[in-house]
Amino acid sequence: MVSYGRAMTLPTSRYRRRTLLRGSAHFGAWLAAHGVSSHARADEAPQKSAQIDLPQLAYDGTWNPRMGALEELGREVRLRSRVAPLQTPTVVRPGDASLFRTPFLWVAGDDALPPFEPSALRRLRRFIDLGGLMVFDDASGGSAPEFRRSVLKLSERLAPSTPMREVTPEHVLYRSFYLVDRAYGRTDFGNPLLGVHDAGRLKMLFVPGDLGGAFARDLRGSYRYPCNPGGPAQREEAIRLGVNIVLYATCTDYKSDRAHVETLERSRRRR
Amino acid sequence: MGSMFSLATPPAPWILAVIAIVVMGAVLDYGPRRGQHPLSRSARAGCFILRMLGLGGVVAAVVGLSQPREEEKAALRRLVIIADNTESMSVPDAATTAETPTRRSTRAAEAWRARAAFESWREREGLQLEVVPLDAVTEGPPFDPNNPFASPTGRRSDLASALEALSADRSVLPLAGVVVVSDGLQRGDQTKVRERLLHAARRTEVPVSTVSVGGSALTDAAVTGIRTGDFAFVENTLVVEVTVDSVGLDGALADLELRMDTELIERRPIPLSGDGAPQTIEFEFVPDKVGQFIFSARLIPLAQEATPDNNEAIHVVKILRDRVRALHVAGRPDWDVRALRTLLRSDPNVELLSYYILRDFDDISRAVSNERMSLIPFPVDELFMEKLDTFDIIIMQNFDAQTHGRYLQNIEDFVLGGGALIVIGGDLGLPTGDFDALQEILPIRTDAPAPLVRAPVRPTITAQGGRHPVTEWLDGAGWDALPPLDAYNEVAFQAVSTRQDTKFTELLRHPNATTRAGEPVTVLAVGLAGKGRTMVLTSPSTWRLGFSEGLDANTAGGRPFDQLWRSALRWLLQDESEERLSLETNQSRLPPSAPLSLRIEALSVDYLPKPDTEIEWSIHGLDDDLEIAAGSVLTGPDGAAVLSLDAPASEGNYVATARFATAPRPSSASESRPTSARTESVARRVFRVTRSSRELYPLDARVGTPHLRALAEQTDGSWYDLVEAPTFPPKVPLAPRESQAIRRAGTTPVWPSPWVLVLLLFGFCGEWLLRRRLGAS
Repeated sequence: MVSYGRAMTLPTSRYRRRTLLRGSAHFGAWLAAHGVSSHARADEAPQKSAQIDLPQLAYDGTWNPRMGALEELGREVRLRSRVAPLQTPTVVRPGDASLFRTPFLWVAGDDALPPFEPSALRRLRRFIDLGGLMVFDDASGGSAPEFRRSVLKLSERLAPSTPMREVTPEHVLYRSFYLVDRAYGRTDFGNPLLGVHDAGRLKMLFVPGDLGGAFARDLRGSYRYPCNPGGPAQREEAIRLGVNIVLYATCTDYKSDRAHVETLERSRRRR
Repeated sequence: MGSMFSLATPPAPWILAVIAIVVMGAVLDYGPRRGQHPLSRSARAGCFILRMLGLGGVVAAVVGLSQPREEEKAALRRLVIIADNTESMSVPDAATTAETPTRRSTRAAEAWRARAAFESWREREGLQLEVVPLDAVTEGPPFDPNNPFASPTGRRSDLASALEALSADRSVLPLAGVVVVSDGLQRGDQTKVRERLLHAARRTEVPVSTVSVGGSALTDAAVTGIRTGDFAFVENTLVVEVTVDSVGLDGALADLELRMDTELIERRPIPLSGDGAPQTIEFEFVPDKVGQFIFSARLIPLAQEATPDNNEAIHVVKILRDRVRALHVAGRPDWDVRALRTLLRSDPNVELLSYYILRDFDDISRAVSNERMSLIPFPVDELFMEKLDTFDIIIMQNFDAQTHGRYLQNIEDFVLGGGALIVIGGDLGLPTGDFDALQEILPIRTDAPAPLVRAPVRPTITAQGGRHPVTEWLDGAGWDALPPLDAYNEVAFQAVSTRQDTKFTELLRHPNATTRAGEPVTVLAVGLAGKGRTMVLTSPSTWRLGFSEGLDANTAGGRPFDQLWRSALRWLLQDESEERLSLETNQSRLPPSAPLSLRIEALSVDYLPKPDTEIEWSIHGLDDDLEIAAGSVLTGPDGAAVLSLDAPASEGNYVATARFATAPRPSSASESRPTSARTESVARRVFRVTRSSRELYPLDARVGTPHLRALAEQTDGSWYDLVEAPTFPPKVPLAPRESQAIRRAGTTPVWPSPWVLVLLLFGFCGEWLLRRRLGAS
């Protein structure tokens, strides 16, 4: 990831940056116009970057149906943005206090979630009330309803006053980094994202199209599952949705700020 | 009526037993027997009766036989006159506009003097007269029951309370009736006023007669209200609503003035409706100063007005800084960025502008296309050159500032000119020494890289941190009850800089870590720089203080994360409440010469209580700038001093000022600048001294007279109108005498009476003599 290990050779580093800025006025303007930092990244050195964890929930049952999917999502986020997820996400159980190490929780499954202990439910409720985001990825891709039903049931218990409902295309989640128009994944049945909306933020998010299935790779680095019906283009859209979810988790509704909305509207009109 | 006799105390069981034995003995002695009795049947009956009489005398003496004395008390009753002595009675009015107005108190006093018929009736009825004021607390001469309407200076028309006091008074003579002499005017919702009055009157259980003294022809205008928030924002439009009531002035033009302290904001001619319906007049005004001010609305009195004393209303408003404009830039989104953004977005007083660096060169080089990205340009020039001064605070969170190094001088100028700057650590910026250009205004050493160390830390609070507004909430419990922070930058506190106008304070420190130069690692430090303030937080993980299992999500402002950042923002933005010298008055509106209390609290530059510090204080008239009183006082061990003074004797607006004795007095010009409230060594509070009370509105007797009529009708009393018939009523209805006697009756003990002794002797001696005479033993 981004390395600033050259801190010990600061003068040289600064000289290079200043030279770049002074000698490339037009290039600098271009950089500014594209919303980037002119810091050139060296080799990745994760121990030197501010990293975030994207933990996954382990439960009794098939809690990790898309092996390595979350690592791949983290890698894509690192490669495409300045957000720096850990290379190896942690695993937490619903009753663990370690649930509160990160305000993000990935829950995958292709079958019904097991009933959680009351203490675990209390922890999960506290987790989302304090600001955490639970993302549920339906590994069945919409072919089996059990996981979806159990997620809806769980949301009723965790947030009884705010039922899970569609995350409409106007939601900032669809533009937190990429402009995405719907909920892509390994499958694409046109099912919408669902969410528990509370006080302007999402507490729980249900992804219907097996997002992890679009990410997961085998040991040779090939994607494990084909994306249907859209193929590679659909996979790219799924990855973009995944990146957007992580950016939404870290920036919340940053992209709905007035300045951003106005600028985006202007650029759309130009196109 | 009840029974003729009663017992003082219930007889004890042994007394009942003795009585039973004596009666049984008498029955055995004189009752029917199988054998022959020496006495005839009639003689036995006589002896039995005599013994029972004697026994009756003994029983009367032993058990305390008593007799009700209701007839004795029934004749002693009282009649209470409630005389309205409040300010509204001084208003002149008349029955019609054609008549010359007369003061209500004059009308009532004349009728009171001509009450001969009433007095004759009262004496015949044997009524004791008691005259009480409607408001016992007046500023004028003491209330005179013989001349009850001479001094209408009371400020509180609360007839219901006066009636309730009568019904609660059971220790005096029975109440026969009540007479209320008043205009019936009271403030508040008139429906509720009526309900409360009737309830209180019914509780007296006697007829309440009423004498109306108010005429329906009144000529007056009053400012009955001035409404705006208690707080307003500088440079933002402030709407002030003024309510005017007027009667008898239909179509007349009156000038309405709105002032802030003594400064005239606007004078506007108002066509008065004159029909008693409230008129609302709106003023719009954009305040250009922060501080506390008296807003007064005054209607210039017209010649024909009944009184000019109700033509002004005031409201004290605190003008605050505008919504805080915050620029939040972050070099890399993470949980800390998310938490601070969420907090800032949730604060309605913060207008947040965020720019987060979402990707850099490597990311761009890998990108397939930019066409469908939701990224916007980072408007560097616009933010850091053109619009920098429009912000109040800049937050650089894990931000590689050297990228924009050519703008750092602008940021320093921004701070020295009065802005606020927060630098939050992380893996960007501080580790690469990016803030070296700001070394003169930041309270940390920026001359060496400050690498990010990933290790849990529970910071230690410094002595200054325990008293500083940003961290004083941590004092006591410390950090032990809080989650540890994840990481920190290895950077040391900088105590002094080369600039003379800076002052740095370390608030939180790592308990044991040191920098490579061997200096303690600081976690949180703040600085005063020129007119602005700076803060450096070297940990990028304070979000932990808001996301921990043991925290209550619903505690209002109670999460440590919220407390830390709200405290920091208040201090950085130089909220007046965070200044080192505070001054509070006990009231913002008080009568002349009333007790006035000033409480002054002083803190040192290091935010420790400043004991034994000389504070100069003064009270000036706002209208004429004349000094009313002045002096100096030393603060106590807690840094506080309390002054007990008398309010000025003259009505007007005044300002109390306190300043450190050592601080140079600001010039009057600087005091009037918009930023005067941000100076650290002067505190001011304004207050109004006024005699006029809210008693003078409403004034139209047509509001009060119906209350008086209803009172009389609902309690079987009578209603009299002095305006129509200017004589005191010759008599008023009274409560029935009997019901009073029963209710008020006491008892008279019978046993001490000589007749009891006579009865006792007659009974027992008579029996003995009769038996002797008849030859019985």
